[in-house]
Amino acid sequence: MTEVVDLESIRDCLRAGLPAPMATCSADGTPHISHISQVEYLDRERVATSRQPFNRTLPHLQSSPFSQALVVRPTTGEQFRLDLRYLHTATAGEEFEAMRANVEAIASQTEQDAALRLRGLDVHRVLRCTRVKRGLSEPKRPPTPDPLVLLEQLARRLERPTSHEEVTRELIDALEDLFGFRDAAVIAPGDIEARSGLIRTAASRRRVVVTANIARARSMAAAVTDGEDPDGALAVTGQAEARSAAAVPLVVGKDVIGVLHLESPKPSAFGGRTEGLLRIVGAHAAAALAARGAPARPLAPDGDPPIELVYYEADDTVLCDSAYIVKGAPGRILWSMLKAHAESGRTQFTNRELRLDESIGLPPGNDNLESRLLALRRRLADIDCGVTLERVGRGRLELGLERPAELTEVPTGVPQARR
Amino acid sequence: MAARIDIAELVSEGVAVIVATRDAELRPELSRAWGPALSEDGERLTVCVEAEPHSAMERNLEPGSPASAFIARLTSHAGVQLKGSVVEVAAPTPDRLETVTRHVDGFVAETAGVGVPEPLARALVGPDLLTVTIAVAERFDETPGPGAGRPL
Repeated sequence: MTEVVDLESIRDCLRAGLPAPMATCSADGTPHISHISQVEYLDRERVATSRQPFNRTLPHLQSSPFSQALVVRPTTGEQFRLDLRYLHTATAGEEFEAMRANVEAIASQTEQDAALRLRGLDVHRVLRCTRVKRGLSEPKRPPTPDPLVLLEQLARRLERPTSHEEVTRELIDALEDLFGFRDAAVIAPGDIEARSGLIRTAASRRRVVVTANIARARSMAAAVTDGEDPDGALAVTGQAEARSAAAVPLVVGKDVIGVLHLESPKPSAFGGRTEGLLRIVGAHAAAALAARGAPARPLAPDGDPPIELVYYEADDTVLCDSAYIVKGAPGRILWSMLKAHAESGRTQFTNRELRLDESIGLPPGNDNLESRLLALRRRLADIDCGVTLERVGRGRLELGLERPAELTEVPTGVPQARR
Repeated sequence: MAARIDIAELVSEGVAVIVATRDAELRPELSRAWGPALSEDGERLTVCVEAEPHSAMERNLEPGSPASAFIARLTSHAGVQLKGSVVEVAAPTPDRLETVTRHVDGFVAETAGVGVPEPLARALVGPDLLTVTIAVAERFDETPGPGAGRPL
C-alpha cells in the first residue's frame, strides 16, 4: 500500500548529500536516468533540481514534463519517490544564486570547476510524494526544543560580552550548548582567502553553503578531475572524522566581517531547516560582533612603538620587549605563529598544522601539544605582554597582537642578551 | 581521454543499480535493483527490481516495455546506463536471491567508502523483488565529466 507523505515532512531528505536518481522520458518514450546532485526545497509544492553541464534531462523535460526522483532520509535510510512535473528553468534570482553558491563551493575544490558549474535550476511541481519503504526506525531522542527558544537564548547570550573576542567565544560556546555544534570556528576576514573553497564561496557569495556529505563531494571531485585525488581539500579544521560542513558568512551592510565555519561527524548535519537556522545565527553573530567594533588587536594607537619580539635559536627562547616569555617547544610554537602572522597577516592556526610544522619539530605520536598550548596561553595571559593566544574553536587558536610587531631571529652562536 | 569502461567488470562489483520504466503517459518510475548479472555476450542484463505489489513499477514491467538501468560505482562515480526492453519478468529463484545477498554485501562495503554507515546502506534494500531481464540495445558512459553520455 503506497503511503503518501507531505513534502514538508521530508525536507531533511533534500540536499542530503546523497545523489538523487531522477528518471525522465525521451521523446521516443525511452526512460532515462540521471543523478541530481542537489534537490532543493522551494515551497510546499515545488522543488528545484540542479542542472550541471553533464546533466542531460532538459531536452526530455521539454518533450515530456514528468519525472520522478528518489530521495533518501540520511538518518534512517527511508526512501521517498517524488513525482514531478517540470515548470521552468531559472538561470537567475534568489533561488538560483543560493544553489549556485553551494555547487560552486564543491566545484572550487577541483581544477575543472567548469565541469561542475550550475547552468540552471529546473523547477518542478511536486505531484505526489510517497514513501518507498520503511528503513531503520528513528532512534528515540528527547523532544527537540523549539528553535525559536534556542535562537532567543543565543541572542541573549550574545548581548552580554563586551568585546569582539568575548562575542566570538560566547558564540562558539553557545553553538555547542544550544545546538550541539561542537566544531565551530569564526574565520577572520584576513584568513578567508587561505581557507577552503567552502569558506571562500560563503564569503564571496554572501550565502550559507553546505557540504552535506564530504566523502561524496571528494569522490565526485575526483571523478570530474579524471581520477585526481583531491582528498583533504574540503577539510578545513583538521577534524578527520568530519562528514558534513557549513560556512555561514557574517555580513554587516556591504562588508563580510568573517565566516562562521561548522563541521560535524554526522552526514547531512546542516541541511533542511538547519540551514535556515544558521542564516539567522549568522545574522545575530554578525550584528553582535559589529556592535563591539573591530577586534582589539588592530587598534594600535598611532605612534606607539612596535612590540619587539626576539627569538633565540639556541634554546628557542622568545623575548617580548626584552622580557622573557617562554622557551623550548612552546617557544618554537609561538615563534612559528608569529612568523606566519608577520608574513601573511594570519591570525588563526589549527593544532593540526602546528603538529605538521617541521620548524616546530614536535615528536610524532605523544607530542603533548594541547598541554604545551595551554601553558603558553596562560603564560601570555599572565605577563600581559601585548601578545595573546585564545582558543576560538576545537583545535583552533587565534593569535592577537595589541600593536604591530618587529621580529628578530638570533641564530645559534650569537651571544645572548642577559635575561 | 578517460579509459573505456568495462561494463561486465562494473556489474560484478558492489555497484548501485537503479531501474526506470514508464507508463503509457510517459510518467517514469524508479526503483532500486539488486544482484545484477550480464550475459556473456553482454546483450542481456538480469537484475532483481524492487516492485511492490500493485505498484506502478510492477505494472510497467511487461515484456516488450522499455526499461533502463543505471549502474554506478559510488566511490569513483564510474557509471553506465543500459537502455533496452524487458524480455522476461519472474519471481526470484533461490540462486538469484543468493546473488542479491552477495551484491548487497558488496554494496554495503562500497557505500562505506562515501560515508554511509552499514545499517543505513542495508535499509535501502527493499523486500519485494522481481527478477527482470532486459535486452540491452544501447549503452552509455555516465561517469560525471566531459565524456558523460557518450555511447559505448
